Amino acid sequence: MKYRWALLIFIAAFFLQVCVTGGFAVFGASPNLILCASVITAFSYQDDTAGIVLGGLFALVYDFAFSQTAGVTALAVVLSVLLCIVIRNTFLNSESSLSAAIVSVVSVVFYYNIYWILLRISGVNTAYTAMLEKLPMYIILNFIVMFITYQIMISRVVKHKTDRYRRWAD
Amino acid sequence: MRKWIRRHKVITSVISILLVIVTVFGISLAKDGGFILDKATNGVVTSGSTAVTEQVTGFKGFIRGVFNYRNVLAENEALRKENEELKLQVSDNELSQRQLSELRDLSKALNYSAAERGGIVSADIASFDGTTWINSFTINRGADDGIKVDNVVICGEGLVGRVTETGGNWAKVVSVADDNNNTSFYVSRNSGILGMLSGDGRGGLTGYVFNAQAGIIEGDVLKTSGMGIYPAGISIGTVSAVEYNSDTQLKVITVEPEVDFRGITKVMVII
Repeated sequence: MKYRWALLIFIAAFFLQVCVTGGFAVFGASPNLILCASVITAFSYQDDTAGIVLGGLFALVYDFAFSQTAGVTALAVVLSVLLCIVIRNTFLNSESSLSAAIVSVVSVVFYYNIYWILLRISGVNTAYTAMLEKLPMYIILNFIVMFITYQIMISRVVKHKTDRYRRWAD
Repeated sequence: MRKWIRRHKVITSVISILLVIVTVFGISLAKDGGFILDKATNGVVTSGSTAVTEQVTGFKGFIRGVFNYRNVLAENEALRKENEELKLQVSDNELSQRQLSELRDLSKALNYSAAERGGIVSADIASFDGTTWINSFTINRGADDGIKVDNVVICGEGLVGRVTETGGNWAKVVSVADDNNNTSFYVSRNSGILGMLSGDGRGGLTGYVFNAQAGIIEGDVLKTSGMGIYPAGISIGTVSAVEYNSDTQLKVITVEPEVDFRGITKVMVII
């Protein structure tokens, strides 16, 4: 994906997250749109760096706006995207919706665990069970956003997906 | 070197961005939170997000009104009755105000000085973080309005938290339930019962009473005692559970905060 298009996506994700999703929380949870955009961009576009670089940068800006310690969200996002890339390259096919679903769930669980660890390192005293209580809702909401985004992105990455599987008559 | 970087651009990008982020994280940890670019970033984000957040809040209120019409009517009726009671209280207070004014004149005559409480700045919430279990948000007032770090933030229901960082036109607020600071309290029913509260790490409050024999019960309303950064008399929450801890020999309480941190849109900062 070209950086200019990725930049537009991440700017939209950032302002939607800051202004909109926080106000429409479901059972106190809302999706992390920067994480969603980073993971799906990195997953869909192989050999592309826009997802991880812009995801890291926008998460850093988000940290400056909200976090008590800068770098917590950014580090968690980048490590989650790295995990997603490793899983895709090792085990999964990026053109499969099932792969996208697996990566979505794994990356969200990994993100919130890393985020909690980094918060503890930075001195914020928050219980692990508090994170675990909200984790199912975070997984569901982020999965929905990632899955929808993936369907849109993959259709642009791979056009005419089923062509290679057709049998041509002799 | 350049060829290697071009061939391995993913690895290079990953290493570069990780280096930047780890450096920022390290500096921020060393400075105990905060970073050089915090103020500039927050200024831009707050300016850009305030207008959008206002529209979103308005839309949210409209949706709520449509789906909760009957509840809104009942709430309106309750507020009308409360308003009438408050008007009677105001007229009583006017009489007390006269007595207070006479006492002030007397204190001036006797050259007695007392600490004056600062003013109040009202602010809208410019942006809030809904992606984690921590209740922190940014308001659209800052140092230009006289707000400083550790200023107390309240709303109509009670204590919200304190200011942790300020810029020209913004301030970061952390809720009392997520703050590492302790909050001293007294029981509204019996001001002789004092204790200490802190966040329980799950969005609620927990604490203990200084006197283990004190008769604190479920349903007691707690207010700030004035010891520490919070001024006296601000509602904190309601006691939801009381338990005697035989190890520490203290009465441990669980408190439900008065304020719904996810639902507030306007706050006031005591400066």
